[in-house]
Amino acid sequence: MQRRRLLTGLGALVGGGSLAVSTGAFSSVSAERSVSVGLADDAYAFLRMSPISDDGLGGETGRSSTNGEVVEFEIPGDDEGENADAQGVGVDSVYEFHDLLEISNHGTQTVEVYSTYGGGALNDLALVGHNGVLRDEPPILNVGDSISVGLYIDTHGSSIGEFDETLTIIADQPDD
Amino acid sequence: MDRRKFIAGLGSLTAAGAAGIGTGAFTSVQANRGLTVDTADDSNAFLAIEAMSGDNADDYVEDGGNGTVTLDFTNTDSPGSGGGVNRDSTTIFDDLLKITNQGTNTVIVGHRQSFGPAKGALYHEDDDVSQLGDIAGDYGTPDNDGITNLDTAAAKNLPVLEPGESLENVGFFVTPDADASEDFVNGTITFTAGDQPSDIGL
Repeated sequence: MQRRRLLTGLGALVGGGSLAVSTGAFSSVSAERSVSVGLADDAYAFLRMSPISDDGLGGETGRSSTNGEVVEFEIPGDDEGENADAQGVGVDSVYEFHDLLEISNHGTQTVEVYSTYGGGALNDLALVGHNGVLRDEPPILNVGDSISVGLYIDTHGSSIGEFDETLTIIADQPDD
Repeated sequence: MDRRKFIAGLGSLTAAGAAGIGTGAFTSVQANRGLTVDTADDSNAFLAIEAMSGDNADDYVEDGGNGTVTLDFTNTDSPGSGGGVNRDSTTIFDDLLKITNQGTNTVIVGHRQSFGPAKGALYHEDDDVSQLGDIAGDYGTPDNDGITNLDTAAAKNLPVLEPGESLENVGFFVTPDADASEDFVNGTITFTAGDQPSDIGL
């Protein structure tokens, strides 16, 4: 009786996982199961990301903002606090704009936070904290912890113009 | 009976394929976020680097291409037709560059240089600019001017620029040895500005 129960349990597992390993041959199994995924704005997600108000000249710079769903960056900023004389970052330069984004861990486990850049118009692009770029030794966020980060922009070899770049922000289990 | 419940629980997890998302745990999150960025030529950048107006700047500050400035002391444009600096001498070039803070916060400004064994450096003669600390006297340049070399300056010596403020009259001095070879200076100068001394490597 014990054995029979166990086999029943295994059968359910294989069926659910769609693994084609069985003594009873079958060509395919189609089993619908429900998946519930809640979408949240960046400000309320498990990995929470909120723009930090960046005070410029008599107002906010608008270098980081949110469209209500996801955060986005613009350098120079598009608000009145940005220096109107600045048309951009110089080429062949490395710029760091600190404290643009707060990232906090609202999951249930410790994570490390870092970024990657798949290339494009810049030589390099990354998140940067007060202790440097979030790359080789990324900061560890325990549940409830947060970190203030900004952008590291390397324009060596870049041409002059306006570019739309993609920064990938990653929270992952720390390597042991 | 307990065991059966446990298996049933596993089955439902596998079916959902969701690794317990409902409880708030996540294994990893990867989020692509956009940056719109403008690059600008040296005169229009957050830290603007421009030629001063005047003969020295006209002769020795050149267009380095792609919107950058470059310093070229290999010859004069006109008149004079000089072909370089003297060996075993100190040659001083005043009033070459102007550095302007076009950002939104006050920054400390300096430079680092890499050009081999040459003795020389940038300096400034801007009497109006404030400095990180109260200092007086000799900064080690030929004219006792303001030092901007981050490798030799103490932080308190460095100029501080508010948004919109310029460091004017940046010059360059160089002292080749008696046996220096031709074009012995061929390197780079890196201008650095930051909010705190630690931001510029001090």
